[in-house]
This record gives sequence, C-alpha cells and structure tokens, in this order.
Amino acid sequence: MPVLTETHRALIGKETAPQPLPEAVNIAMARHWCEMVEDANPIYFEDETARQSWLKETFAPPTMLFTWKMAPVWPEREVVSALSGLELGGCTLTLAVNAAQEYEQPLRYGDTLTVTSKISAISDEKTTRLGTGHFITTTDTFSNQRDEVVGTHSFTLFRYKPAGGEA
Amino acid sequence: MSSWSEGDILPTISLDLTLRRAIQAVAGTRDYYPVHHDEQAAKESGAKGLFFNTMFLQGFVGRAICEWFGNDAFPRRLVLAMYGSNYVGQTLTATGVVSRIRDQDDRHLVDADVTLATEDGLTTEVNVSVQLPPEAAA
Repeated sequence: MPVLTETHRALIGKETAPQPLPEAVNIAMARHWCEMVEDANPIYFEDETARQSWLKETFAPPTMLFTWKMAPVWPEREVVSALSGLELGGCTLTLAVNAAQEYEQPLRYGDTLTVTSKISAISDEKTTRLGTGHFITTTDTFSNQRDEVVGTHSFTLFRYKPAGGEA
Repeated sequence: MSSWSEGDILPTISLDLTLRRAIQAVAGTRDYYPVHHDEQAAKESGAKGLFFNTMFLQGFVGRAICEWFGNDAFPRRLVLAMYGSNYVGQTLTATGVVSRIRDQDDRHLVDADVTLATEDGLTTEVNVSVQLPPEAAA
C-alpha cells in the first residue's frame, strides 16, 4: 500500500528551477488546437481582426497554456516538473480531478516560455472507485522571455494503484 | 454597461467525441499518456474506454467562451472540477449561465458557471471569469 512519508512531505512547496519549454509559441500548434475543438475565432490568426481589437495582435488560444510544457516524445526529452522526483510505491496511474488556470497576458507568437513547478499539497492515502492512492496538487507558473508571468496552472491529480490490479 | 446580466442563459454548444477527434486531441495537446489513445490501457486504469484529457476540455471551454462573449473576450480564470470521464463515442455538451458581472483591477469581468455533460450526465463543472473589451464597460 502506498504510504506518505516524510520524504514526500519534504517535497511540498519546493519549486523547480525555471525550465525552458520545448517550442516557442507558434501558429502551427495553435491551428491544430483550434481544429481539435472546432474553434473558429479569427483573432488567433488574422492580423487585421486582432489589430482592430483591444488585444492589438494575434495570440495563441489562452487555454493552450499547459500544452506548451508537454515534453517531446522523440527524441525523448523530459520537462522537469515537481512530480519528476515523486515516487509513490505502486501508484503508477494518474487521473486529473481539478484544474485551475489563470491567464495574465496573451501569449504572442514567438514568445519563448519557461515554467517553474511545485507540489502544493499531497493528501494522505485515499481509496476511490478507481483504486488507492493520493491526491496531489501541483502549481506551474509560466513566464515569458521578459520574465513576466503569463499564466499559472494548478492541477490536482489522483495518483493511484488500480483497484484489483497487480501493479 | 455590458449587455450581459446575471442569470443569462448561454447557448448550448456540442461536439461529437469521435475517435478521430481523440487522435486530434492527442496530437493537439501533445499528450501521449496511454489512457487517451490505448483502449486497453484506458480500461486497465478503471475507465470504460478511451477518454479525453483535461487540456481538450480547457480548449473546448475556451472556444465556448469566445462564442458566448465575443471573439475579443479574454479568459482570466478557468477552473474545471472533473467528476466523470468524457468518452469516445459520446457527445460533449457545454451549457452555462452568467453568475456575476463585476469590475476588478480595471477589468470588466463576466463570471459564468458552465457545465460539461455527455450521455452519462454531468462530467465537469467549470467556473470561468472572462474579461470583456474595455468599451463594453463604458
């Protein structure tokens, strides 16, 4: 059974060094994002539409925030996060239960981002219909090339061992 | 004053959760966690089948926000409480109601309570705060 130890508690609140993210904010990834949910908003891509608005320039869909930190799958490159060093014996599966994002400013194409990540909380052991494990809340703070905070993402995940599973 | 009032009902927006869309979501969100593309892995995790990830839901709500409040509406805060999974083969539907109109830090904001549902019922409760263009406050 997964047990929360002092080693785990010591990880709470420790922030990672700023990690540069894999890709600059770019139009191609924004287009794929919009295709995915059939988002037809022209402000993301049409210069004239953006210029005539109070937002002035095109920008990537704000809700893409977390996607900018997803790691390349080949060649594999880890984007170090607060969870990188976390081992909870037997708890190998993850389900997201809560996600809170705040957007400080539009992400402009060409912006290069860094993220710092910390664990804000780890619960004691809990059992749900899925299995037994811990609720973990992480907070990621995203900054741009001018060291301005552009957004934050607070994620609560259930990291668990499946009910009836052998793993 | 903006044209929005507390209690305003926001039009329903739906999206078919096809297998193709699940594949688009894997690529579009760069999320290769197996439960989103490997049916067996999804079932072993305790799910009924392939289900959509958090980023996809954020993207769908981001789309809905601008369809409801305008192409130049800018989300400031988006909170998802996820109670159930959104599975391939289902239809995802967003409904919402305006909960508050307020001015804060020189921002004219509209808050809304949004519900995401599938054939299984409510899957996700969402709270959004959206900044409207400055002229909307005049």
